[in-house]
Amino acid sequence: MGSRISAYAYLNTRVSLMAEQLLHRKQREALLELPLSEMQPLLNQAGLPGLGEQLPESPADLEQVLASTLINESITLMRCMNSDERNFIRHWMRRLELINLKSILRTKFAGLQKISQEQDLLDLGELASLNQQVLINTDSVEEFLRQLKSSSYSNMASPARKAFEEHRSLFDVEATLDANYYAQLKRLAGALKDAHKEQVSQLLLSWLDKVNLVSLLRFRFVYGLSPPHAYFLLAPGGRLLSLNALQQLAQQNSLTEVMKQLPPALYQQLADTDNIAEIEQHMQQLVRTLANRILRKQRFNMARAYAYLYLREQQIQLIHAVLKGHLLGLSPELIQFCGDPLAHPALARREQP
Amino acid sequence: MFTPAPMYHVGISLLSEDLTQAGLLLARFGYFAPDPLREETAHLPETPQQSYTDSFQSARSHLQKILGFLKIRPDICQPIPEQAPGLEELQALETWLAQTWQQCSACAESARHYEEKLADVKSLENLLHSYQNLDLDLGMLRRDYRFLNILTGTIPQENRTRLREAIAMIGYTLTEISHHQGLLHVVIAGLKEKEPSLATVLKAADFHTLELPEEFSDHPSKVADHLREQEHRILQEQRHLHREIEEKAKTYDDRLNQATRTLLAASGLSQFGSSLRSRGGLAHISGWIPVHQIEPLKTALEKGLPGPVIVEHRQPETREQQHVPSCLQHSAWLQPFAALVRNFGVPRYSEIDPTWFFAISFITMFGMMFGDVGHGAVIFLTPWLLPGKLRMIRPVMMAAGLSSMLFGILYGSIFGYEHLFPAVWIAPLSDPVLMLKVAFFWGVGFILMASMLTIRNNLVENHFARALFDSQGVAGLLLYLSILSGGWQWLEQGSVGILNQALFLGSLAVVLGYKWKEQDAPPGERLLVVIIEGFETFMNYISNTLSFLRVAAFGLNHVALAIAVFALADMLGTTGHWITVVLGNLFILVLEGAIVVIQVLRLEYYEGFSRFFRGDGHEFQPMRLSASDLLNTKT
Repeated sequence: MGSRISAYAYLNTRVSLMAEQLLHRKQREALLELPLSEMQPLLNQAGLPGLGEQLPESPADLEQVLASTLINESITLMRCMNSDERNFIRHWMRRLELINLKSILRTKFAGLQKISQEQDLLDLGELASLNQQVLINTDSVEEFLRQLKSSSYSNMASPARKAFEEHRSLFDVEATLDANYYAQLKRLAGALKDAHKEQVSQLLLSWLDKVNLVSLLRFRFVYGLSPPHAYFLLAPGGRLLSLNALQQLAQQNSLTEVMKQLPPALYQQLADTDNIAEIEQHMQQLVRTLANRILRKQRFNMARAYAYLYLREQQIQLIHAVLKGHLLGLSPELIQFCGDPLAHPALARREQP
Repeated sequence: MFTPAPMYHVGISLLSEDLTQAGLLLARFGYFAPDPLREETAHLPETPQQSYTDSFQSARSHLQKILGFLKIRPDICQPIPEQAPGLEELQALETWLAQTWQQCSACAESARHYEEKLADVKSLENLLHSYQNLDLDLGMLRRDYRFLNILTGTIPQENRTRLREAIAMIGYTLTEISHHQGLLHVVIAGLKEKEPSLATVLKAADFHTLELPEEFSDHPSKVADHLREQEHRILQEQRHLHREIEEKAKTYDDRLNQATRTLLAASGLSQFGSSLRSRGGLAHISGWIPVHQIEPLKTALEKGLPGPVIVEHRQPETREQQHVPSCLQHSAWLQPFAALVRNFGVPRYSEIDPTWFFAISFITMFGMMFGDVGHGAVIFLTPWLLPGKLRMIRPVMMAAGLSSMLFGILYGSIFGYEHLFPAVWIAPLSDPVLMLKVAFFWGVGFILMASMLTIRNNLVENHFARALFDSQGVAGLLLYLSILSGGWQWLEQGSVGILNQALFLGSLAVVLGYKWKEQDAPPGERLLVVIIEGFETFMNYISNTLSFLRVAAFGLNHVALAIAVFALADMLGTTGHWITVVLGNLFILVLEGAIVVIQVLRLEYYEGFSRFFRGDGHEFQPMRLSASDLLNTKT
């Protein structure tokens, strides 16, 4: 215990200091309702004073500022970690790089080459592991996948190529990249030690439950995939939804049937929901609650850093939605909906197919 | 020599249609660094030649890929065309390069396909090894029979006997095929009706089923023949493909060389970046140029451009000092020292370029710490043996070697021997106190010099208050001098004079007052910060000066190490003696030499540069026609 305290004292203090930036529920609600001119104190509290003083010129600049904030914080936290912990957090943060990767891939499917590294992609700073320009310069999906094979994402390139050769669809290649990303994330969480592994896995698997359930519902009932195809594209099993449970769920023919087949612990939480957006919000809330618990109750555990980064990302997404709404001159009702779809359930239902 | 070359800000106004040629001329000229337009953008709203730049970038990216794939190294000695290609010519080249790359990409895809197929065949061959002892058609193991149940798989070796006995009870047999790393490859066969009872036993025995691939549909030897045949065919196709690629390389070699030259001629325009804007048919380029190059620039543009051109120039304004690039010109032998300076930072435009100061003090301190004629000679001669890029450090090593030899003569030391010739000045161990005194005064001189450079830099940048009152300014310098003279008086007379006390207190009060003024915090916090920083200033001057005692310490250490080597050598016979002397000298050269270099760099960077050198300037990077820039995939 003593050695754990000494090894994690700095990280613990860092996380505690950073956690002061997280907005409380009432502050988050206020953020959705306040006009831009009165937002400064909340943005100061959230560690983003510059945004309160002057908004960036374009939504892309805003996205970059917020992404850089998150990336810099994650790098600060990673400095206090050992190599296994760093690998996990780095891979977690690489979801941003996966977004860039998919943006480039989409241009290849569309037969375009015009994508600018500076304007269209996020600058990941020290976290970047890909030579994005080389991928941008490719002329076809095949060439893109060949280049990917010789990059730090080589393990994803072969399954992505198989998916491409089999289906020739962007959707399948993207879903395969995602599935491999999740599998790698789960493997890296498994490499952590003792209490760190236990707590990190708990949060990660809960998050995978959310990812899997929402993806499954979309694959089956929005995109109309067959049960085996939908099941094949899912991430590894989570905390309440094992692979067997997901197999069962994939075979159901309607959202209501899926809900009935959910494990009781999950069904209780989602009993009142009847559309995918609501289910997603409720699942997200469950993961947030767990992350909050880990952040508040755990001590000298790297899972606190992971929980903080998860919560911080959620808040940054909320701030992004609100500020982007103001930047684009959207109505207050629409901004509230973007920040919290459950605030306007009628709008959420309209989104359903 | 001691500051970056003086620069002019240049504005070039010309016709938009002449831009491509202007790009070529300015890149060929080699002294024009584009400067992003900051204020005039409202009057010049357009970014001209976008389609030209897009075509160039696309053609360049394809050229890089083709050259990389065909392993062609373009001949960069060929002359670059005098005229930049027009848009149509460039677009035609872009189309040809895109088509050529399509062919190459198809070859690359085939190569990947063959590699994958070959890897599949290899893995099947490896798998077949496990079955090669079986004298039966492997297809029989894959077939589904009505009454017979056949399973192939692996079990841990230690479970073999127990499993064989257990399944015999339900009429099943176990046949071993092969074993590998503690795992046994087995075939289990029996009646299908007993399958349910078998399942539980197999689970308990940790049996893992192996599905035989479709290719295993014959006798193992025939399957092996078939796989070999497949492998042979793939290798043949691979060879054919490689020949095809080589032929392509030969066919396209000339055209690709020509394309490289054409793209080099077109590369100037893309280097303008945001320094180029236009309105209608008029364009404006802004940039920096060394003062002495302004007339040649005007001549080059007026002669080379078909249309009219106006070149305006002016001195850099005070507010744009931070944007002025630093053009550092050093002779070849000073280049490696400049590289070590750049390792710390690039001097600002108005800042002193510390390369000379660095080179002289580095060479001197190295010699003082590693004074030995023999070792110096080895260091002097070694760089002649260095291969490739390492030759770049030749001047540093030769200068360090010469300095070491010079101090070796002063110390009377050659390969650690202290008695072979008399010391011109002093043998270090004969008077260590004198050595320490010399190092101390060297340190004082070094810090005074660094402080004066700081004051000069602040004055040039119009930071007068900082130059006069800061701890690194005149007040700080007086404080340091009062500490030195106070210490000397104390040692010599046992007391400190009134004048000295007044100087100390007065300069300290000025430094603290300046720090107080610079702080923007509540009074309590301000007071705390000022007291701590004042104390830190005082301590820094003392500790930094004492830090230079290491110059003497390493000089003494060098002799002491040599004594240790000779003591060891004297304990051995003649052969052992000389082996120890040689190995000991090598040890001193490599290990102590490396430590001395690190210590000297530490003194330079920490005690010197951190005091007077900001190093946050940016280097003068003129437009140029460079094949390596054109073909570098990272940009």
